[in-house]
Amino acid sequence: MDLVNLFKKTPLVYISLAFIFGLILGEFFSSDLGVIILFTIGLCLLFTKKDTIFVFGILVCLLSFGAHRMQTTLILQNHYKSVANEFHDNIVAYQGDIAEIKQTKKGFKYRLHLFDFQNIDIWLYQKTRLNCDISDTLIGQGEFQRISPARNPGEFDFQSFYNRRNIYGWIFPDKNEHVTILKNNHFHFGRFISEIQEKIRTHFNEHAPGDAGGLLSALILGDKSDVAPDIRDSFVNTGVIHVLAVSGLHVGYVLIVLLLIKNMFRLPWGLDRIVVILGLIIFVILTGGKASVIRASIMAGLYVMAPVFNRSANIWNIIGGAALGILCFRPMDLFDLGFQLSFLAVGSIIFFYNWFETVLPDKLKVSKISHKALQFIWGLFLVSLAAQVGTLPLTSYVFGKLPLIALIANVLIVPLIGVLVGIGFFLLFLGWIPGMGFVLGNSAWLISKIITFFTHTFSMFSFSTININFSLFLVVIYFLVLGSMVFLFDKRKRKYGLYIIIIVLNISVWKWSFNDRKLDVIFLDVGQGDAAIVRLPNKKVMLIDTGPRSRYEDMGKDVVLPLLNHLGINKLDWVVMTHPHSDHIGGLVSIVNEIEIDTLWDTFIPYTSRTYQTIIDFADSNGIIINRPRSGETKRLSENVYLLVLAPDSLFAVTERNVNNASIVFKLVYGETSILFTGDLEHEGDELLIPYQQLLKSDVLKVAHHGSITSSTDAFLDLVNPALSVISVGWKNKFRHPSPIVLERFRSREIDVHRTDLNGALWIQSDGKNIKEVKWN
Amino acid sequence: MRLIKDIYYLLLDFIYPNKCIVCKRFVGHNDRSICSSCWENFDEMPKQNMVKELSVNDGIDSAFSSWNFKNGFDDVIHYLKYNDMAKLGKELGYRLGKNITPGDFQSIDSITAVPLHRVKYRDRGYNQAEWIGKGLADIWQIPFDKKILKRNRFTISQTTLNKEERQANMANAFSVEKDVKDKSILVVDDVLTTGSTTSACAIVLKNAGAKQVHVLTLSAPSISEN
Repeated sequence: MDLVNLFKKTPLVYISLAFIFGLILGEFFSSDLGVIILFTIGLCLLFTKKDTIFVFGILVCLLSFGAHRMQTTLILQNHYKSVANEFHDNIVAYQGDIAEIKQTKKGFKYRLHLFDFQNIDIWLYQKTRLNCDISDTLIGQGEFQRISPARNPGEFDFQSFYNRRNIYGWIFPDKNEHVTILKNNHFHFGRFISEIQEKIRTHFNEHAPGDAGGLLSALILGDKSDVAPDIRDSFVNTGVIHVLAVSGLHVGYVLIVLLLIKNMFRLPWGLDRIVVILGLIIFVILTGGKASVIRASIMAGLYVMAPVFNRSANIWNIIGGAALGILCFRPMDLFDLGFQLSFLAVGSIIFFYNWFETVLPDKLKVSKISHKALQFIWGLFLVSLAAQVGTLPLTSYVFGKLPLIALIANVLIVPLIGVLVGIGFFLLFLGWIPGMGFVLGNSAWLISKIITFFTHTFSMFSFSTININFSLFLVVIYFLVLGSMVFLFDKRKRKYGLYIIIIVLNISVWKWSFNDRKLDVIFLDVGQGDAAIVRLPNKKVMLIDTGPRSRYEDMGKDVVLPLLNHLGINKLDWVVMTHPHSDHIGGLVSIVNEIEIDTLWDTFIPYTSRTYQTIIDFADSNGIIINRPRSGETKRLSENVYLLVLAPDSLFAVTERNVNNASIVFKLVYGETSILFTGDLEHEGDELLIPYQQLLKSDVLKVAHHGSITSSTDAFLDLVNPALSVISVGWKNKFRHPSPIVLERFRSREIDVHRTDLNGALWIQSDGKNIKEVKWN
Repeated sequence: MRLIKDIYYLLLDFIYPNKCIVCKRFVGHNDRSICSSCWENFDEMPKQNMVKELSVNDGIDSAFSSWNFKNGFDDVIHYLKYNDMAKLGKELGYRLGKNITPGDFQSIDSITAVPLHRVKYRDRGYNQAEWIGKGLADIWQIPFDKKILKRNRFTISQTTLNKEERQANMANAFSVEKDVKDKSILVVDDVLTTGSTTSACAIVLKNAGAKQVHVLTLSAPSISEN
């Protein structure tokens, strides 16, 4: 009976949870029969007279709905994905209607809806702006590329992100490829909206000088593209970037404005909230239907409609309703970071704010503070804290960073943003009045100046962000500890808190004793170049090569450092420069400035590139030890991991004119498992290794020189005889690596080949006995 | 019809679980917002004309009130006034109309409510007294006319004032907008304290030629405590 009452209190919370569990179930199991059985069971339970069983029936039914919804969505998505894979890299003819136009760094991208082809969307890249608008039809030809999945662990997964939005690929027109534009002369809702957005944007830019125009567009239209990059960075570093991404906060401000407007219209009670509902709908459409905006708008709508039904709204139930509403129509949003953060934030604000109000001493309770301004600031601080408490594990799991200053920054920035949103709306509606536009525009300018002053100042503190990384395990532990704290403060439920703590301790000890004996090796996808991270069982880290750096890309900054951050690595114990070519050491230039390095391994060969010299100078002036290992040396890295240096032979390396043959080559051994790293060694070097004979035998081979024909001789491969080989190579590189002949050598020996250009990074893990692949995407 | 209604309430209860506004326990699948045990708990006043007991009663022929302003009924009034719960007024009006019947008054031709000033009306979005009046009119089948009285002046809150100050505060606050000649008017309000507000209404109505003016409110503070 108690259960039924609990359900009755907030039915939508339990219903949406059941639906969400169903969605997750559907993600892992795809059985139609299972869904039917589940649904039938649920249906049967509905025909009982016992309330408890009836409630279970409802939940089981919803569970089966969720599973079914996810299964059908996944089937469709996988079908489109396979279509995209099929057409990947082919020249295709396309015809589609423009749904969205966006400016990118390198040109423009048009989102085309391909009515005649599977109903999917693609991005069409164009260097210049075409003379066309949303809903016009574009016809042409170009090379189709599927959306690439994440290349390295921790990287943002654009494939899932775009696939959730029904976008499955890119089309790059050939040079001089002609695009035919068929104008649409009929009314089109999407175009109408985009025209309004454009008008509002120009209106803001006309009236609000400086950065204010861009900020207003971001706040009211949810379009950050007009905000200057340095301002955006300062918002990121201070942890207030969320105010620039339209979210529930902005809906809150809009609601305040709408409630003021509502009362001006003097409509009869009940009808008056049509103003609010319409306003919210317009705001949702104008900002492009983001999950967080829809969530907050549904909540606000349900809230203002409650009195019409002579009821009062329960906030938790309304959150459940909003989740259910969104997930019914867009089930894949469950995996969307925006969706997750939005619900996590609103949930933890409500829960922890109330919790603070009960456990804090009376003096610190917001409701007990008499000074109005003080009450406001303290309240805002607690709201900000409450939001952080709940979202911290997720944000640090995803971004690997915790902006400490965010707590204080939010207290200052959030109300200022509110003022700016208010001014923005007045400017929007009253800006056409002569003089009014000037006054409002300039006050917007002033407020945005104050805001950017704060964010710039805050982001200058070096302690403002700390790098922490939550593994999934830590996220669970964090919430368990949080839960136990809440229980411990409640006298009646204290025992539950103790239970949780005991469970947490148990899990931790268990995890400690079992899990810490693994060697991790990640071969990164750094395009045309090499980079691998080795993490020893004792958590010491070796970085072997660092990827290329050129005028266009810096793999050290863009790939290696983010991955080190993601893994929570703050110190590199060894960095191996297998040889000083820039596709192997280029990335190190950025890395040395960001992360502490203990020892640097270098070859004997004299080299004079600026990249190399920069690194050596940096090492010299910062006390980094430089080692030059030579063949025959054994290095013990930790208790049970050692490394056998096979090359270079110092004499050979110095006399050899080919720098590649100076590469440091070594075999990393952990227990019975071994991995051979070969740098860019070519066949002259290969030959020198042959005398090692059986010592060359390894489980995994990092293929030399990106699979070039000049390396990986038959004799060498026969001796190494790996089960798995890794070719670190860029997609369609100008050297045409890897060579088909070399690939044939692997194939004939039945050696598995992992190519980073095709499959992204490879993460393998050894327990000393076996090596297995770690799935990271 | 019955089935449709059941389904409607079932769905409604999913979105807005029907909790009693006083005790927060479940009311059930219906339109009521106060549970029956809370209704029983309210202190019902003896059904008697209390016009003699009012500190200000000029112009009022009879005055009735139904529940004492305590035992949770104070919460109800708070909900009614400040939580955007206009419909609660109608619900309470039904209940009031069953407790006190037209027969308790000499005669009633028309029902009206104590008007709110338009600024206050705009802030609140509705006049709670008007919604009580609508409920009464529905159940008694007597016409309700909200436009009989009009508030001309913004009056400050009565709660901190004494009797004389309340009377002064209310002087010339109302005017009559409709023909009330020889009619008996029932003026409805939420709470009856000293009677100064309703009396001000009654005086202008009488001056406009009304035959009788009766007053009915949901609640009044217990006379003894006053």
